[in-house]
This record gives sequence, C-alpha cells and structure tokens, in this order.
Amino acid sequence: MDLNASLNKRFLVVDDFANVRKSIRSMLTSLGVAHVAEAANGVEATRQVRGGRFDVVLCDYNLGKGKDGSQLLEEWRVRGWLSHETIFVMITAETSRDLVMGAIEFQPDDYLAKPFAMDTLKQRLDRWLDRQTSLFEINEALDKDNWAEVAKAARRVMEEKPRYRAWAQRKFVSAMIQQGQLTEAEHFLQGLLEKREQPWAQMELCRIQIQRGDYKTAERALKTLVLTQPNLLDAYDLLAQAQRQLKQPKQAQDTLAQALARSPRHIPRQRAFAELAMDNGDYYAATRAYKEIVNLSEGTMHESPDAYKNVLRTTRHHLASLDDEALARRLHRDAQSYLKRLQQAFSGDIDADLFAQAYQAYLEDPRDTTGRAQKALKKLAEEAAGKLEELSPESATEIAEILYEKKLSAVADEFVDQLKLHHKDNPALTERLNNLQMEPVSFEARRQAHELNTQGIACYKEKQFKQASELFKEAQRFSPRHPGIVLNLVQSTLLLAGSGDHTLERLDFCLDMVNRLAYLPEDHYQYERYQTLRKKIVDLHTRMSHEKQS
Amino acid sequence: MKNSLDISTLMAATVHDVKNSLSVIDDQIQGVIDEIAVDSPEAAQKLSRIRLEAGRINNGLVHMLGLYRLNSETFMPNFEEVLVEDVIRDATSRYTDTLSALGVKLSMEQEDPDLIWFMDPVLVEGILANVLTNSIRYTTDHLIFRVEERDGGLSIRITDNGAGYPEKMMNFMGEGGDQGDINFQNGSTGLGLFFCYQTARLHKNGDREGFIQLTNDPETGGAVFELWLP
Repeated sequence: MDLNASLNKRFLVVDDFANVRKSIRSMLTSLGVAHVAEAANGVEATRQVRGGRFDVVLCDYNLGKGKDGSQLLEEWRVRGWLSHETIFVMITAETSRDLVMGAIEFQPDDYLAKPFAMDTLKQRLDRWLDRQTSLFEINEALDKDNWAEVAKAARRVMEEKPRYRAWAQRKFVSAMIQQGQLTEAEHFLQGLLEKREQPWAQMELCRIQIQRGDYKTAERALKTLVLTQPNLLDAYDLLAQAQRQLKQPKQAQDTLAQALARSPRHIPRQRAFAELAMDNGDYYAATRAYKEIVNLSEGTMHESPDAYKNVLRTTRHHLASLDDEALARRLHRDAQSYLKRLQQAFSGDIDADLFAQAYQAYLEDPRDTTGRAQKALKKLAEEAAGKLEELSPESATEIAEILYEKKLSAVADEFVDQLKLHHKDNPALTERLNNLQMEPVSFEARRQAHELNTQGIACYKEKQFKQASELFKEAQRFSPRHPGIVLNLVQSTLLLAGSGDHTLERLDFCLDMVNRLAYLPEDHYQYERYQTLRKKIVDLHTRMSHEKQS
Repeated sequence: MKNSLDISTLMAATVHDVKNSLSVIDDQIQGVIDEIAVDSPEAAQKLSRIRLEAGRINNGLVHMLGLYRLNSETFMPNFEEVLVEDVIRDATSRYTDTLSALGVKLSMEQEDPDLIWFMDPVLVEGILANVLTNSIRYTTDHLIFRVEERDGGLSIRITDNGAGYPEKMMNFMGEGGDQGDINFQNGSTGLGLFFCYQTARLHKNGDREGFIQLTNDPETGGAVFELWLP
C-alpha cells in the first residue's frame, strides 16, 4: 500500500473486547495508519461518528449488550450520521458470516471474517482506499441527496472504472428512479438483462412497474423472483406492496411472513406485517409481530411508546375475538406486563400516560364489582379532554373505543365530540370518529358484521330474501348502529313483508329499525336511502294499520 | 426431551464449534511461529506444515457445512458481479504465511486486472482455497493463477510444478451416470472435489453451467486445476 495514502486516513475500530481493539489497532499501525480511534460499544461509537469524519469504520457485528453492528449501521445511515464516503466494514465470525450477510438490510461496504491475517488486512486496506477514491464523486453526491449528480457520476464510473461497474449500475438505477425518470431506468435495466439474468435488475424493473401502477405484471414477475431468489428480501416487500394494491391482503401477509422467516430483525417489515395481519383479523400474528418490535427496538432508534401501545391495541382486539378463557387470561396477563413496561419506560410522556391509564382500566379484573374501572375511566375522560393538545389522535381514538367498550356511551360521546371540535381541521380523523360513534363496537365485531353483510348482499342479489334478511339480522347483532347494515335489513324485510305472514309485525320491526338511524347526518351517503325507506315504511304502516282496523 | 432436531442440524452445529476451535489453534500456532522463526527456522517450518494440515481440516469442515447447506432448503447462493482478482486474493491471502514459510512462490497471470464476473464470491473462494491447500502440498516451489475469458466464460486455472495428478484422480467424475461419485476407499480428496464440482455447477447462465477440470500440463507435467464459470 502507498504509505502516504494511509497516513492521513482516519480509522475507527468498534469492538467490545479491549484486546481485540488493541490487536487490530497494532495491525493498522504497522500498516502505516496513524489515526486509529476506538469504541467499546454503540453509544461510544455513535458519539465518535457524529463528532468527526472517518475514512474507514471497522465494526464488529456482535457488540455484546446493546446495539449490534447492523443496528448501528442502520441508525447512522438513516439519520445521515455516517458519510457515504466512509467505508463501513462489518467484522463477523467466519462461521456466522452467511447468517449476518443474509439477514441485514443495510449492507456494509465490505465484510471481514475474523480471525484475519495481517496480509488479508493489508490487501483489504488497499482495496478500501482505492474504492474510496474511485467512488468519491458518487458518494459525495449521495451525501447531498443530489440524485442528478449521482446519476452523472455513476455513469462516469461505469465507463471509466470497470471494477466498480456493478456497484455504479445500481446507484445509477436508484438515482434515475428517485428522479422519476422511469423509462430511462427501464431501458437501462432491460439492456443489462439482455446480457445476463440478474436478480437485482429484475427486481428494480418490478419496482418501476409498481410505481407505474402496473401491479399485475409486477406481481407475476416478483412471485417467480422470490421463488428462485429467496434471499432477495426487498423483492418480498415489493411483492407484498403489489398484492396489497391488488386487494390481496392475505397473500401480502403471507409474503411478508416468508421474508420475516428469513430476516426477523427488520423492524419496518415487522410493522408492515403487523398492520396487514391486523386488517386481516389475524390478531394473534399481529400481536406477536408487535411484541417482536418491542423487543427488537429496545435501546435502538426505533424505541418508542408506539411499539408498546400497538401490543396493547392488538391484544384488545384479540381478546374481543376470543372465547377461549384460558388463552384470554394469558393474553390479559401478558398485556399487563407490556402495560407496566410502557409506564416505566415512558413515565414522563403525557400521551403514553393517558393511553396507559385507559388500558389499566380496560385490563382491570372483570370480576371486580366495585366499578373501579368505570370510575377510573370517567376520570380519565375528563383529564384527557383537558390535554387534547398533548394527546395524539391515535391514543384519543383508543381511549374513546375503550369508553364505548366499557359501556360508558354517554361519556364516550361527549369525549368524541370534544375531540372532533379540537381536530376539526383533520377530516380523516373526523371521519374515523364519526364512524366510531356510528359503530362503537370492537374491530373484530365490525369485521364479522361486514363479512355477514357481504354474504347477505350476495343472497339478496340471488333473490333469496329470507336468507339475506337473516344474515343482515346476524350482522346487525354485531354492529347495531351501522347504517348500511340496518338499511339492508330493513329493505330485505320489507320485501318479505309483501309476501308472507305477520306482515304488520314485520313492518313494526322495520319501523323500529329505521328509527335507530335518527342520528344520521344529512351529508351521510346513506342519508337519502334512509329517508326513502323510512317514508315507504311509514306509508305502508299507516295504510296497513287502517286496513286492520277497518 | 423430544428428539425433534434432526441429526444433520446437530452435526452442523458441532462442525461450527470444531471449526471455531480450529481457527483458535491456527492463530496460536502462527503466534508460536512468529516467536521462534528467527532462532529455529526448521521448527518454524514444521509448524507451518501443521498449519497447512489445519487448513485442510478446515476445508473439510467447510465442505461438510457446504453439503449441509446444499441439502437444506434455505440455502441459496448469492450471485453478484465481483472483481475476479479480489476473490482470488481473498482465497490466497490466508496462505501467505504458509507459502513463504514453505518457500512456494505464487504468481498471477491476468490480462485484464479489472475483469469482473458473475458468481457467488464466497463459494468460489471456498473452491480456490480447497485447491490451494492441495497444490501447496504437492507443488515443488511454484503456483500460478491464470485468469482469462474462454468460450464465453471465465476460466481460472491453478498450475503447479509438481508431479501432476495421478491418472485415477483426473477421472474423478467418472463417465456419464457415475458423475460425482466419491471414492472414499482410496482416501483421496474425493469429497473436496465433489464439493468443488457441485459448487461450480450452481453457477448457471442460460443453459450453460460451471464445471471443474483436472489435467496435467503437457510441458511441465504439473497439475492443472481449472474452474470454468459461464
């Protein structure tokens, strides 16, 4: 190696063992490196990386307690603390290399298997410094998020420095996609694929198709790709994205489950999976994923009250869907321990505190007859209403849901009204709160109601009115105030009324039903239908009562 | 306890442990060599031979792990475009000490130092390391790496100046249906070659797949190992 080149380079060695750091330092020193800084753990390493610029960071994957090497790299990259010009080298035990390599999302610039010989280090050192010099322009542009410049510099590297061609090609493609030059990126990728099948290029093509909204084509190609390249984790994310767009949420959940089986430590993917599982009513999987997130994010940049809140939220939905008492008790206990951890870890956080209070009451022993939970919730609603500024819309909605679930409808309605007033500039939240008032039942009940409703509509279309009205009635049992379901039930019952016995009783029932919708606001999309049906029932009812009397 | 873990997984875990211990031993031997190299060069050379054998054991363990992975469903090679020179240097760098201790010269002939190729670099490094441990043992004093593009593929040849491969070995793959048979009886390096052969075959492009070939140099009679990748 050119001794002069390495003399001014700054190295950082991160390892939890002092003797390992010492040995690497002495190797580097004997190779002519003058500046070697050391860090024994993630906190120290982060402080050093933020404090000054390094040319090479040699970081052991396993750093004992606290963050590991890949979590450090992730945090530094996401937060922009590590310049792209810095070469990040992950040191792994030789036998765990595959394990580490396959499983991490933020790939280091190089791997070094330990123990490594002096000669190996010397060769790698030459390689790293050459790489740093050769790719300087691209990395400088990456640091500035200047994609036009990244593309330009990448093109130059592709032409002039063939040994970095493969790397530059990838940077070029992402720069083109970032700038929205999809057609150009597509042509470039197709050119590469004509020469040789390359999984990453196929995947990038799919990314472009998804951006264009061509989900079906992307889905087909990605399905093949994950079969032949099961380690290409990004491909699963893209496939799930396409499946979501194609309204295949169950398949999307399966796809992410496969990726997570290969790399369970990826928090954003765990979160995407949990959200899908939640929508699919798979509360077991959702709760498990959120618990995994809590455990993974401890001590990392991902740690936040949200992880704990999500565990509690999904557990509540899970509990609502269960009739297995033993399991319910276990979930209850589990939730209590997460609640305790939330309270301990975020004791100063007002939002987390109010949220925790709601769950404390919610998780109160159901055999407790002193009404303690009810009292606590009433008090909480008052307190929360006074802290709407600090309370996040998500937590507020949770509190409202718990109030309804604990049969404090009046308190809940008042709280929701205050919320709507406070957040009147947030139409999405207003709609959610309106829906909650209309249908203040658990997520699971809502899901079941909607499923039955859909089946009922199918029967109705087949003119099987009796079956349809029974299904609607069942749906309505789960969700008594939902306008669509109520009106479906009324409409199908009316058709039966014309054809069978007990006509007047049926009409009475219909009248009773439509009256439940008296709260319906005039701008609701079912309002007109409601008015029409109501008028029809009232007319029929009046006529028939007269007939009966005469 | 239910016997739910399959035996091959347990064995693979054991192999991992043995391999880690071996690398500690290897490290310590090198430490001793450094200490005594000046005062008793002969003893140091003997130790270098021991290190070479440690390297062979290591390769054997790598093969066992490799076979385990080939047979497990989760194994998939990671193909990427890499600098050929880097892969060769990674394979040779761990033998630098041994080579110099045994007085073996290593040279590289490559027309295009910037040649990049599509491969799983970890697997190919494994093949090359495996060949090196054997070549170092049988060569007289010289090893040559030759890298070139041939038949639209990448050819890496390792030539030594020893007595060449025995006839039996050059036919290790047998004919037709016998391909890949290992002859454990003669105690040869069958397993190593079988592994190299399987690994080379994983490299595919269109309908062509990689292979290995053993020949003897017509001029010097030295052994020539060739790895060809499409």
